[in-house]
Amino acid sequence: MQGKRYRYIQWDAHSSPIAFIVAVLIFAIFTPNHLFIDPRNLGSLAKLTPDIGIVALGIGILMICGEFDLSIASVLPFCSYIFTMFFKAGLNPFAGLLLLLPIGAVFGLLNGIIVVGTGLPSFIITLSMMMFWRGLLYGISRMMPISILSYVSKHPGFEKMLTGQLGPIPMQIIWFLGFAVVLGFMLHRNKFGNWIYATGSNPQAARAMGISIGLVKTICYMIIGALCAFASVMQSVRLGSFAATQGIGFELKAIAAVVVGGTSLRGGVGRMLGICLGVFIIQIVENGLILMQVPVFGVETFIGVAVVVFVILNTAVRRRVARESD
Amino acid sequence: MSVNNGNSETMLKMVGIHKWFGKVHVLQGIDFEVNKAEAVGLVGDNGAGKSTLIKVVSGYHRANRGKIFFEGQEVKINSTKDARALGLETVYQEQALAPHLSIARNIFMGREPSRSMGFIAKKVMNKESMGALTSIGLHLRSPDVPVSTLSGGERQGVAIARAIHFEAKLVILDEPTIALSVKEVHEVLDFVRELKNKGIAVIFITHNLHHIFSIADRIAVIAHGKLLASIQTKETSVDDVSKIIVRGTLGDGD
Amino acid sequence: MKRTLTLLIIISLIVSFGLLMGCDRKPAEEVAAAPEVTKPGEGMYFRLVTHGGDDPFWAVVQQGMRDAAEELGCRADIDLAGGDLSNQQKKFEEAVASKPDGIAVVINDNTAWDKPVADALAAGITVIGINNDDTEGPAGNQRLCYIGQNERRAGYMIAFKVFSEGKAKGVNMAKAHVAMAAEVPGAAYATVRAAGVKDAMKEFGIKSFEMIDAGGLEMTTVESRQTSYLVAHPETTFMFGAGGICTDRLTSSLKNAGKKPGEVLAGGFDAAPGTVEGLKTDFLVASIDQQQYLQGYYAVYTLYLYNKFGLTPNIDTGGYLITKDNLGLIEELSGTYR
Repeated sequence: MQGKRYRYIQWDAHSSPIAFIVAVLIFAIFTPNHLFIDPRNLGSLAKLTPDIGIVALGIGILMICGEFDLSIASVLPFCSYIFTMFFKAGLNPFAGLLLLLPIGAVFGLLNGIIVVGTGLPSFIITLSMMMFWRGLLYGISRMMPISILSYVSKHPGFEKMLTGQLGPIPMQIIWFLGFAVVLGFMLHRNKFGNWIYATGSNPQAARAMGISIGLVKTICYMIIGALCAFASVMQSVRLGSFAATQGIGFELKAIAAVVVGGTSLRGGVGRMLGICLGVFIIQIVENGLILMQVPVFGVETFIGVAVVVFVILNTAVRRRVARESD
Repeated sequence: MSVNNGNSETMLKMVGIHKWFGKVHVLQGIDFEVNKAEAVGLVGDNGAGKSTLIKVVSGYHRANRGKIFFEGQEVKINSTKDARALGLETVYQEQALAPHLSIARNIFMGREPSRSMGFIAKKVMNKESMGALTSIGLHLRSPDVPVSTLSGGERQGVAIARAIHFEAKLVILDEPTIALSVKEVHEVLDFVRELKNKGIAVIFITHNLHHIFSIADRIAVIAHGKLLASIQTKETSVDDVSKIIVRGTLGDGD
Repeated sequence: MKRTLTLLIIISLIVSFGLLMGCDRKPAEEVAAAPEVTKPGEGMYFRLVTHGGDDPFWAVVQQGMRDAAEELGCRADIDLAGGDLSNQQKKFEEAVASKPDGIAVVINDNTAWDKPVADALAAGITVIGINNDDTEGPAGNQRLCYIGQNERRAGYMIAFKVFSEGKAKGVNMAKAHVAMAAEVPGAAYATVRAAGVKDAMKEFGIKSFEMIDAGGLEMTTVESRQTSYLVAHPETTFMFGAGGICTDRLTSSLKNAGKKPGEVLAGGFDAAPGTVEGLKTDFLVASIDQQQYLQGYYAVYTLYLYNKFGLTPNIDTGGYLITKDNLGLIEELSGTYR
C-alpha cells in the first residue's frame, strides 16, 4: 500500500515539468509560422524573464518556509535608485553592485525583524512595507526617470557582464540559472534548506527540534532583498535608466509564478525546479497568447485562467495523495 | 510522597517546581521522580499541569522556581537544546513531525549530519534513519517518503525512533496514543516496550488508563499542579486510579 | 516585546509620513521668507486638484506650479489623487472648503465634474480646468477656462509626422498597419490620443489599426509584450507608444524583434531616457513633449490674473514635436522642466 501512495507523491512533484513541456509544445505548434520557437522570440524571453525570475526564486523559498513578501515591488526600484546615485557619485559599478547587495539584504532584514517580532501576518506587513518604500521613493525621486546610459557606456565590461550575450544566449538567463542552481543546492542539499522546509511544514516541530524559525525566516527575507538588488541593477543597465515604475506588479506575478510551479501557499511544499519552471510557464503563456494574436483585452483574462488551471491541477493532485494516505 | 523500587537509581528528580503563566499558578511546588529503566504513567484531569510539567522537563518552558536533578547532578534546563544535550527527548502530541518532509529529514530535523558548509550527508542520514527505525521494530521501505504517507502509528514510531536515536536516557511521550486505531495503539505500546528493554526511562502522559496499565511500572497522579499519588502499577487497578483522579485526594480506595 | 515593537513601527511610520509631507511643503514656505519687495501675488493661495501621481509627468507640472508661485509670491498646493476619481472629487471638496483664491482642476470625466464645479463657482470660488477637459468644452462644464494640451490633437500631430515620414519613404499606405501600445488601453489618455492617430490615418488612407495592451507601467512587462507583438505581426508598418513608458521601451522592443532603424516607423510621447536614445539612433521618428510645465505654470498665473483683472484665457499648452534635430535642449532639461 505504501508503494502506491509513494507513486502519487512523485507525480505531484513532477507536475510542473509536465506543465512546462505541454505549454511549450502547444505554443510551438499552434503559433502562426511556429513563431514561438523563432530565435528572436526565445532570445527575448531569455533576456526579459530573469528580471522577475531572479526575485521569484527568493519568493518561492520564502513561501516554502511559510511567509510572503509583497515589498519586492518597491524594494527593487528603490535599489535601482540607490545604484543610480552610486553611479552619479562616480562609484565604480562593480563596487556599486557589491555594495548594493548587502543594502538589499538590509531591506529584507527589516521585513524579517518586523514579521518575526510582531507575529502579524507577513502578507499585511510586507504589503505595508511595499507602500511605505514606494511612497518614500516617489517622494525622493519625484518619479523622474534618470538616464544612466552615459555612465554605463564608460564601463562596457560591466554592461556585457549583466546584459551581454554568450554566443546566442543572453547573460540574463545565465545569471538566473546560476542563482537557481546555487539556491537549489541550498534548498535541497543543505541543512538550512531542511530547516526552511521544516519551518514551513510544521513550525512547532521545528522549534521543538531547536531550529530558530525566526532566524530562518529572516535569512530568507534577506536573500530576497539581495536578489532584488541584483535584479534591479541588471534591469536598469538594460533599460539604460532608473525608472520609478520598475517592478510594479512583480509581487503578485512572482507569487502566481511560484504557485504555478507547485509551491503551496501554506508552506512546506515546493521545489527549486518547480519555481523556475513556474516563472517560465507564466511568461510563456503571456508571450504565446500574444503570438497567437489573441485579442488585446483578452491577454490578461487568459493569463488569469491559466494560473487558476495550474493551481487546481496542483491542488487536485495533492488532495488525491492526502486521501490515499489516510 | 513517592514509592519507588529501592534498588534502582533515580534518573530524574524534580523538587518544588513552580510555574506561573501570567497570574495562573499552574505548577504549585511539584515533586516528581523517575528511575532508570522505569516507565512512569503521568495521569490527572485536564488542567492538572501534566503537559506543563513535561514541557519544563523538555526545556520548552522554564520553571520559575525549584530544582531539577538529572543522574544525581543538579542541572538547569533553559531550552530544548539543553534538555536534549542531557539526553531528555520528547515526543510531542501531534507536533512531532513535519508532514511534508521525508522520514530521514524528520528524524534528523535540526541535527542533520553534514559535511563542509552544512551540506547534508544524505547516505549517512538515510542509513542511520533506517537503523533507528528497525531498532524499535518499525519496518518501513524507504527513508525518503514523506511522513504524511505513513499511518498514525507509524508516525509515532518515527518520532520515538528519533528520540532514541539521539541516545536519549529519558523519553517523554505526550499523549502518544491519541487518535490512533486499536492496531496502531498496540504498535506504539510495543515501541515503548522496546525503549524499556534498552534501559531508557519513560514518562508517558495519557488519559487512557488502560494503555498505561499495560506498560507503566508506576503511576503518578497529578492534581492542581501538585503530585497527588505515586503508586506501583501492580499494586493498584484502573478503577482505583480513576477514583483517585476524580476525588483528587489521597488514600481513598486503595 | 511584540506590543512595543508594533508601537515603535507605527510611530516611525507616522514620523516619516510627517517628514515627507514637510519636505513637500518647504518650497512654498521658503517663498514666505522672500525679500522686502512685495511680490504681486502675495497673500494669495491657489490649489491644483489633479488625478496624477504615478507618472513623472506630474513632477514637471508641480515644478511649473512652484516656479510660478515663487515668482508671484503666492502659495500653491497640488493634490495628487493617484488615478482615483472619487478620491480626486473628495480632494476637490476639501479644496473648496479651504476657500482658496482659485482652484485648477483636471476635468477627466464628462459628467462627474459638472455639478462640483458649478457648485464651487456658485459659492464664489474661482475654478479653471487644466490638463484634461470635458470633451464638450465650455458647453459641457462651467469651468472658467481651460489650460492644457489637446490630447486628440497631440495624437494627430505625432501620427501626421510619422506618416509623412513614411510617405516620403514610399511606404504603401493602403497596405500599412498601425499598432499603438498603451500602458492602460482603456484609459482616457490612450483612447483620445488613439482617436487623434486615427484622424491622421484617414488623411493618409491607412485603414489597419490595432491597440496593444502593454500590461501596465512595469518596464519589463511592457517591453516583453511589445516585442511579442512585433514578432507576431511582421506586417506592422507604424508603431506608437500611447504614453511615456511604452514610448521609452519602443526602441528596445524593436531591437529585440530584430528590426533595423526605420524598418518600422515609430513615435510616441514624452522624453524618457529610452525615448531620447531612440530618437538619436533613428529608431524613433519623433516624440511629443506635452509641455506640462506650462500647465502648472499658467494655471497659477491665470488664477492670479483672474483675481486681478478677471481674465480667463484658454491656453493650448500644445504639443511640442521632439525630433533628433531639436533634441539638445530637451535632453538638458529632461527630468526637471520637460
